[in-house]
Amino acid sequence: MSGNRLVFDGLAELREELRNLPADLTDEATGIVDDAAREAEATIDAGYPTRSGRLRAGLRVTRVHAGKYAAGAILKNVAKHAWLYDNGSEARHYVTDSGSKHETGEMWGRRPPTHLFVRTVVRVRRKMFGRFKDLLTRKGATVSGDA
Amino acid sequence: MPDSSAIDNALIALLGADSTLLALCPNGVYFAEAPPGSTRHVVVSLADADDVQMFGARALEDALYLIKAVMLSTAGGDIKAAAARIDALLEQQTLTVSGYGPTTVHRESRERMTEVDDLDASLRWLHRGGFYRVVTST
Repeated sequence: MSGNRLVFDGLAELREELRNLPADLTDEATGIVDDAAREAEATIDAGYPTRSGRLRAGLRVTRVHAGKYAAGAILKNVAKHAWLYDNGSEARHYVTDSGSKHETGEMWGRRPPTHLFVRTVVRVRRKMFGRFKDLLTRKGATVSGDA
Repeated sequence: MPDSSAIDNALIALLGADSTLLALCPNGVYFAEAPPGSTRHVVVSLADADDVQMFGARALEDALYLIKAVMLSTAGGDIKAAAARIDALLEQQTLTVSGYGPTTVHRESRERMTEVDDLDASLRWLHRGGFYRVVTST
């Protein structure tokens, strides 16, 4: 999760089951992954404060095309201060590498971590695993692990 | 039913009782944020928590904590050693939590960030540690 980046991925046993599935199921799995990525993006976006707007503007969802038997998406926040917003700040303001100041006002100062990104992604991923499990079970596979 | 705050307290107590870690981070170990004026400390925060039900009751508490050493660059600390000490104390260890059964701890990912203070651009706040998964049985 470093740098507010998380790859949506499956548990080992889910991956193994997915590898054994026909390729047409990839479409359904892709839909589940896309739904999860969009839900996480919307939840995080709604949770960010409205100040400069850079946190919201920095959210990116990228689809991962890793072959006809795989489905994936990457949700990432490219804003420079995204990590600090999520994991806690010590300094009062934020300055870019080029030296530009970003006066984010009361949002900053020594502040506790919000964990908005991580918490949201973990919960959405858990839900996504449940949908994978349902999908595989519906197709006759056995899933022994749990998320 | 045991008090979930005991898990937070156990983590802080474990880290705060270690003389090696305290030598590296003399301002202490705190939950969520350290008091003003702290320049070498450890911050523990709860990122996510999930209760696992079995037989109609809470059987496990599964929590993800961010545990990081934080240092002001001019404070003369060794952030690398502090993060390594945190990991040595927690990775694949068991934790004793009042009111709970066996508790396991392992790291899920490491974290590292340098924060610039715009009041004095020569100042850097260093953050280093990781996300630790703590699973307790009730």
